[in-house]
Amino acid sequence: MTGSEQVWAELLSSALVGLQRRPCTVGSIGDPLDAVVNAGPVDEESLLYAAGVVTVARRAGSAAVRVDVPDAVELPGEAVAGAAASARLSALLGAVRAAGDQRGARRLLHEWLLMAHDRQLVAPAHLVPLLLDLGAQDGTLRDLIQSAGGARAAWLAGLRPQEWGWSAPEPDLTESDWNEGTHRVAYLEQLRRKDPAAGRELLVQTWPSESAADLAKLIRACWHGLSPDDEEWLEKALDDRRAQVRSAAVPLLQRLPGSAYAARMGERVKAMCRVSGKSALIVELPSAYDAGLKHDGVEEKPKYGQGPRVWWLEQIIESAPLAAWREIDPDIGRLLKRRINDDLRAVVHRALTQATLNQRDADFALHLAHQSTVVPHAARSLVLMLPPEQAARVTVEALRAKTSYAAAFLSAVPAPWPPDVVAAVLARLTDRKLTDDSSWRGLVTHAESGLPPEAAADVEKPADDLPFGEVLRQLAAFLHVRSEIHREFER
Amino acid sequence: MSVGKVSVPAMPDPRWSTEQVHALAPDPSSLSAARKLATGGGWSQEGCGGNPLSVWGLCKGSGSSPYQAVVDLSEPAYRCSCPSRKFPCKHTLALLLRWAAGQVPEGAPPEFVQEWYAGRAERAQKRGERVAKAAEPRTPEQERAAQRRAEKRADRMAEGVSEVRRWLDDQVRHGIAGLDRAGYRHFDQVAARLVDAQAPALASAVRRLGSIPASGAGWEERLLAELGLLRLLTAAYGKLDQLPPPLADTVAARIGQPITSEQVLAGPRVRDIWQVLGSRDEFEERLAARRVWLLGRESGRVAMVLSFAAPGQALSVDLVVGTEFEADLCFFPGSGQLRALVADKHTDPRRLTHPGPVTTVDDALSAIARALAEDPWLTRTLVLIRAALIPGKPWYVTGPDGAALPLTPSAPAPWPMLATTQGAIAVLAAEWTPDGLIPLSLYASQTEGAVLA
Repeated sequence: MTGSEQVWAELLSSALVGLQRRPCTVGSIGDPLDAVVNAGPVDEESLLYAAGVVTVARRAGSAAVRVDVPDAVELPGEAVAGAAASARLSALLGAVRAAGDQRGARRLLHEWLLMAHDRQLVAPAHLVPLLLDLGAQDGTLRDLIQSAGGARAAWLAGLRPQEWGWSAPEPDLTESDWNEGTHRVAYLEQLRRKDPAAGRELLVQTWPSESAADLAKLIRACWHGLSPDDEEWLEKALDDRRAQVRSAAVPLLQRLPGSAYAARMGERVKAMCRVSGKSALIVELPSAYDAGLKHDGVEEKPKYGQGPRVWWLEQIIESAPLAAWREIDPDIGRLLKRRINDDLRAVVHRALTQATLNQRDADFALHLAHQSTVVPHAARSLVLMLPPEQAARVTVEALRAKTSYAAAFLSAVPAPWPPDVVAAVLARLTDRKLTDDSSWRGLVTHAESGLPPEAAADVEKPADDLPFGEVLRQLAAFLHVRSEIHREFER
Repeated sequence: MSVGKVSVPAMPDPRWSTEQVHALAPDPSSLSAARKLATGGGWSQEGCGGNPLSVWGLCKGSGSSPYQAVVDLSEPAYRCSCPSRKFPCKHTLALLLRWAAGQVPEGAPPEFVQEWYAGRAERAQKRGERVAKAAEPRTPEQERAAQRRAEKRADRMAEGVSEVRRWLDDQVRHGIAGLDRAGYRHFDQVAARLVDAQAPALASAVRRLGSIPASGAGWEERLLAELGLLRLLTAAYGKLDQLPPPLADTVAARIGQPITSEQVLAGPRVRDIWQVLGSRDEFEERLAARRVWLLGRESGRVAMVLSFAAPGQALSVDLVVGTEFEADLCFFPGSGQLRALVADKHTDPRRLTHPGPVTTVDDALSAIARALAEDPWLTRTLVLIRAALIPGKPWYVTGPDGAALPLTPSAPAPWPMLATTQGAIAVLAAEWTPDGLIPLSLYASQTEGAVLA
């Protein structure tokens, strides 16, 4: 211990408990400080004086520590976005981080990242950490951020795994993850993606030793790679005494319309539903919850305030193959227009929507999307199933007919929109006869991202004469920004 | 000290980056409003040019006549005919954004810009007169009155300082071990009395003590160090007349002796190319303070320009990090004083790519030791070193020779800088504090301008 350290320790001990309880005597600090701090007993004043002197001496005398200079990291050369585009990214990141106008900035940032991705450009180095931070909060942007971050992002993520680990590639799980029980569900999921048959074998093998809850989780993990080859064990799951196991198997079986399970459900539908004349459908509700329904994973107790019999009906329709309905009425348009007894139309259509989504049936999707019984978010999912040209066509029709679900359709048309959709949207946006209409606002929001930036003038020009001109002017400003972003990438 | 002849390297592009414009915004909402305006179609009669170099334009607002916005880029100084109290307002910010993006053509200043120049020239002249007046000898009567006021104030300050001296002695008599339970009040009461005694700088020093007991392990040692330094300061104030005059000025400044900007501007001028290397904001007692670090390219001299803003007001944004300009600076009196005012700008600010002079870690430490000899109470200064960043707890910066200093753990980790350098040696400007360095800006061969922490 040097003189000054020893003196400092003495001073601190007395200062802590108080000089009145612990008197203090300092030794010699050594040259040159001995000249200003006298050795010997100290009072309050000289204690603090010595503490001050030692502090200044320590600060002035502090030396650098010696470390090994690390080598710089080699990263592959990647094409960086130009100066204008980089400045824009910096501005957008600032806007997303600041409060206010969050959604607009986020959508613009999304567009920037897409542009960079299409051109295989990366963000400037100093902005990559900000992008990684953003990816940590917002899962929807992660793929694009990884692309814009390039090799630099991967290197940085390795330095800060807790915050930026999301951008590291999913680790390859090994058999020990399964055997030691650490990541069993994830392991099975990965195996199913690579080799569905091997995954199936593993599940069947482990079956007898699993608890109901674990088995249900493992069954759900087999969603990937699902095929008719899985029917056998799924049927076995239905034979299980445990309700948890049975209901885990149902969503998987619903996606296998050729299975024996589906055939049983189809028979039930055909037994309950029949046409009457040209415009009615008669539905008889299941009379009792029998052993057959229980076996096929139909839940007995209704979820919401529904009657139990309606609840059973809904589950049966959701699981039945749509082919059964084609037998009831081959004209699907007509089938869906039919009146149904006892206010069951909404329930039947809701269940049919679910079946359509499960079985990815574009024909049913097209007809269902037009039913007033279908809620907007379901309509969006249905239109998303259609081939792009068809999606665009039904959207244009909906816009021309000024239906309230046009906005929902529009949200399912991928940007950039085709010309006829653009024309229909512009016509709707600048409709002179427009009164207060909440679906119109929805159109504006979708138009911000969907309209081509060149449409700004078409939106701005008529704004002055319209009741909602200000909204249109804001839309035009947004489109201007987008066109700037595009131009910045072309420079 | 004045530097004779300074060569000005030719700079092809005086334009700022968009990031530099962002740094001028008083708050995020102004910036996002400005961004909207900048991309909209409401602009007319835009141009840039003139002497001093300016940019101007008319922006359509909600009223019938458009707002006239103009920025003198050499200061920068702003004017806009809009009623906004934000400063700079969204219109001037939008104008700068357009200029930074290359959307403003060159041209001759229109009438409203000329008028503004004339008004400013007049005000500058008045200010010059005030400075000259401060330097003028006073009449004997004025002299006596000033002396009476100064004496009265000196008495009150001396009273406040000796009260602090007794309070400091009390702390070590009774022991500091329990102060982590005493709270801020224990210190704030003393600070409040010092404000009454017109010793504001000493008051803030005492107030700052209050945060130490809550600063984690080792606080006792840090508190004793600060108490000791304050004891040295109060002791020095007690024998001000025995100190060498420059040190006496430093002590008086650290206690809070007032000095007007006119007095400072009447002092000697230091001409150099001043490089703006960093800016840090702090808040104390609801008052925002911005500390801007400058380094003279020829003299290697460090300067610190302070500005303050009351709540709701924007801080001064005249000095943009990553630029340099040739100017006269006036330093506050006192040995080791870093604080200065910009007296006269001789050139427009231009982008800074290669700051200097750059030193090694060891030389920077020697310079800090010399600075402490001139002002023992120095707690922050600027260093410009060639170094690599090493992430960790704490981070280190190391020179090519392996001489390293830690970063202070309380500063945000400089990931944007590390992402840029990939761990290679670059030129780093940092604020030195006794607890470690705080990175300010970085200059690497891969980048065109400054990368901020």
